[in-house]
Amino acid sequence: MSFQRKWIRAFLAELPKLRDSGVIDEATEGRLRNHYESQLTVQKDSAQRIFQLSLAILGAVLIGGGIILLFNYNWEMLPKCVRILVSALPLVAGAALSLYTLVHEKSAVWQEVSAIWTAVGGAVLIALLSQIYQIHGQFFDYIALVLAFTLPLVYIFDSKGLAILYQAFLFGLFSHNYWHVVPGVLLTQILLSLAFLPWLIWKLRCGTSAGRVLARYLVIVMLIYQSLVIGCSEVNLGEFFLVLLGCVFTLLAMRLAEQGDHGFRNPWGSAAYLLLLGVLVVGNCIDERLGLINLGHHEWTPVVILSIGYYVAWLIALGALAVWQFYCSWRNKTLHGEKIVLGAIALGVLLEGLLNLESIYLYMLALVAWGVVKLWRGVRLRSIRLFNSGLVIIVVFMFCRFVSSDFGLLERAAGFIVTGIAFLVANVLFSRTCRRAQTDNPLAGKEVEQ
Amino acid sequence: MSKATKIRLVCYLVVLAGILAHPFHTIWKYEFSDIPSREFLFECAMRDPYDIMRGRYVQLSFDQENITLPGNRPANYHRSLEVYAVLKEGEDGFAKIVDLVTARNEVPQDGWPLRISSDAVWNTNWQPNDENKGISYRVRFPFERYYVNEKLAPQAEKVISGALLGNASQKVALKVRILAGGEFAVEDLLVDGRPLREVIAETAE
Repeated sequence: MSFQRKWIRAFLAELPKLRDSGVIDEATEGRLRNHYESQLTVQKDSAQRIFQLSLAILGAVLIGGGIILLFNYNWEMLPKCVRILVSALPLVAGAALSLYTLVHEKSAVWQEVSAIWTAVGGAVLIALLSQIYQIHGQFFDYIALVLAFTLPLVYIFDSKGLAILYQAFLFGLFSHNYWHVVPGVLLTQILLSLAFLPWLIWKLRCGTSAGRVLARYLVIVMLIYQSLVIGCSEVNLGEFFLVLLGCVFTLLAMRLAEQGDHGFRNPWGSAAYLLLLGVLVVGNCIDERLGLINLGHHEWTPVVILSIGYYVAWLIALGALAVWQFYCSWRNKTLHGEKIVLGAIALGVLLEGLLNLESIYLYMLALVAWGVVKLWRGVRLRSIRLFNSGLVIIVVFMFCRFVSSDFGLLERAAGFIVTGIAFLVANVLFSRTCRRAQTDNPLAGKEVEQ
Repeated sequence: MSKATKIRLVCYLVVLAGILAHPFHTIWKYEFSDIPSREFLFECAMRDPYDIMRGRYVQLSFDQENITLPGNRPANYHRSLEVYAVLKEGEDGFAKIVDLVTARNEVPQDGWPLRISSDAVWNTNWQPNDENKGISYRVRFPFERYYVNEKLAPQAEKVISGALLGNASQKVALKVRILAGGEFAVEDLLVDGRPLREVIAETAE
């Protein structure tokens, strides 16, 4: 929103210059000015409304907090039935608000508040009941129950706020180490994750612009976390899972960039970059090659069978998505060096995992090649961002090899200094070249950056 | 109201019923169970930490945590199993664990089941299983916390410390209501037979 206001202001400032240079006449200038100034007013009104809404929410939260503290002070003195009724009040209020919102078909803000209030009311009721009856349940059971009734509310109210909270608490579920012991726990985690996917997919395909952007972030978070937790299970992680995710994210980011989505609207590119960079660092620092699936020492309990099955299914789904993205790129004739290198990265880590090779770093070399391709594209497109992203990959690889090799302190110190200087000098030289080229030919066309 | 809204309304009412089902079930189970619950007293000691979800609590430890049972039983219980501690009231009025079983129907008529987690039971024998010597277990009770008002928790700790370290005849016990299925609800913490809150109020005066 603020970017649009800045753009409108900049455009309004340009209008007199356009009139003076004869590009537009006075009447056109007047019409354009009226049109865009009215848009500024509307945005200012909506910004004020958002600010007022935020203050109202803050006020309501403070009032609610005060009431809660009052009850907390007198809690022990209240009879059990009164405590139970008080515990149910937030849920009752949430239910009343939700019914009002649904019956009168109120706006999205009402729906968001209704969804969150109902979910929080339910969670509070269950927590307080366990305190009243001194029931000592497990944190996992509590979170699983709360998530189970929160998810339908996400669908009913199409609530983005509640979806973010759901994703956050899903982490709490996955971080619990119960699941590798009891099959029911793992099954609960899998079902709660998979049940959330249709909403994410729906938002990605059919949601509003803001909904699509939010879904992109949530998808990243969910896929990476699931890959780490479920993949780091009895089965094994290997680097393949994360590398495959990085490749898939990169391809998806490229498609979005081709459609005109950049910056914060296209988080997959950054996520893929950080993921693959992380794999490069960790892969260089850990000498042990884990292999794709390590089945040798397992006791074949239901949990292990379930987790292996889930792992394989997830792998196949991601692999199919990657292949499909490659195919779309090939069909649209938008395939270029970077995508081919990504395929080499995925194949490299797959081969390394299947063959359980210890000394041949196939996918590491492919990752470095990816850095070189980015660097080259940066030079060609005169993009400092691409140039630096490629340079960082190469420097990180050299740094990690340097660190993990048997060099003394003096040699390492010299190496770091030289690398740092080379990095800085390359950046300065390249940015000067870009500025010079911009000055000489400011209207030179550029391909879409990724 | 549009058709889509009506569908959403019906779905919401179903979800609301689902949300309310758990609290109703809990209240019904603890207040109106078919088989009356029994109350047991567990002799205990304590300390005072904090639970972010439920507030201040008194951390309890129990004399009954270390038990030796007759031989011919598992050295350790697999983590996927349900374990029931069979309780009987001792001559001193406090509950004692007389057996550990892995199914509700294995609990004898004169005993009462308490459901515990299988990873709350571990073997403390140094020697291998010996039928003559029996097996020693350490049992972590599921009700090792007693939640109190934030302001009362430090006073509770003082009162109980005084009871445990001072007069030897003062016993601290946790009163627990245990249902026929093995679930439990903590009723009160007693200091020398009197509710903790009463003792704290008296001490404050």
